[in-house]
Amino acid sequence: MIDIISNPIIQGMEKALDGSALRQKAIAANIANVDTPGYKSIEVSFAEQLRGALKNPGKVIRLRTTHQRHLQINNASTMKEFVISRQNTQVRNDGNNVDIDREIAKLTSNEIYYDAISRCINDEFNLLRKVIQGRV
Amino acid sequence: MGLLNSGLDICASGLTAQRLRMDVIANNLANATTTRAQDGGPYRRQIVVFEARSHTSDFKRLLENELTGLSGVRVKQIVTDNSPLRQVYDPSHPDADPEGYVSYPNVNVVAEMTDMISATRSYEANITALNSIKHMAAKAIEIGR
Repeated sequence: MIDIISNPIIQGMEKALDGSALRQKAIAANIANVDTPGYKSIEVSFAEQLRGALKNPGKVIRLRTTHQRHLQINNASTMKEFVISRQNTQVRNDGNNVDIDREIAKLTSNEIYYDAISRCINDEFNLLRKVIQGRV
Repeated sequence: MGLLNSGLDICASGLTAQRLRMDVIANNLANATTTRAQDGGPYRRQIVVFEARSHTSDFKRLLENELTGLSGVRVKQIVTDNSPLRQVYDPSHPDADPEGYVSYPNVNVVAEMTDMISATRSYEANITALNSIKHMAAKAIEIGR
């Protein structure tokens, strides 16, 4: 039987949404630190590593359990490997390298990306709904 | 790893920090000619120092930082600018020294005004990021409707 809900397409889009949300948070952190001396901007390079992440679930933080029936947290894989700190550039004299124009542009494009992916997921679910109901 | 709570939290930290910076600038402007501050002498300009918020005692935030490496901003301290005071010749002023010079605060009103614009713009940038995250979270709720 085919697992209709957790098929690889939806799982992949789920990962893309997670990555996009993480990127938005990184941009928000950069914007919050636009006036912090010595702050180095961070970036989330997700698209390049998405393929690898799909193949390999990656590092997972495990809770230490002392009993076999203790619950384990699932899906809390660290996202840290996607977060890159840009150390080699400088925009201002105080060592801060947040380029606010770039950050706002990234913020907008990432928001549209998130919209697009969430619409794709919606379409996928609508398709499933139609199949289940058996009518157009 | 909620987009809503931690993302908005980062934006809120930026808003809080910029608002405090704005308050300090307003205080500097209000006291631009104050010759008797709390410690007796003329008022001295205050400067806000920001730092990336990495150390925290809040477990949830600590875990979040550990998982993603992202942090907001906070005001590390408010320091006093010890640059020389402005000397103005005005012998009739009650705070004039024996030579007739009055020490006015080292507040440069033009510099404060440009700083204020900078704080306003940074505040607005944080609002933009906050709205964007809010919009994304609303889109996520719409999934499956």
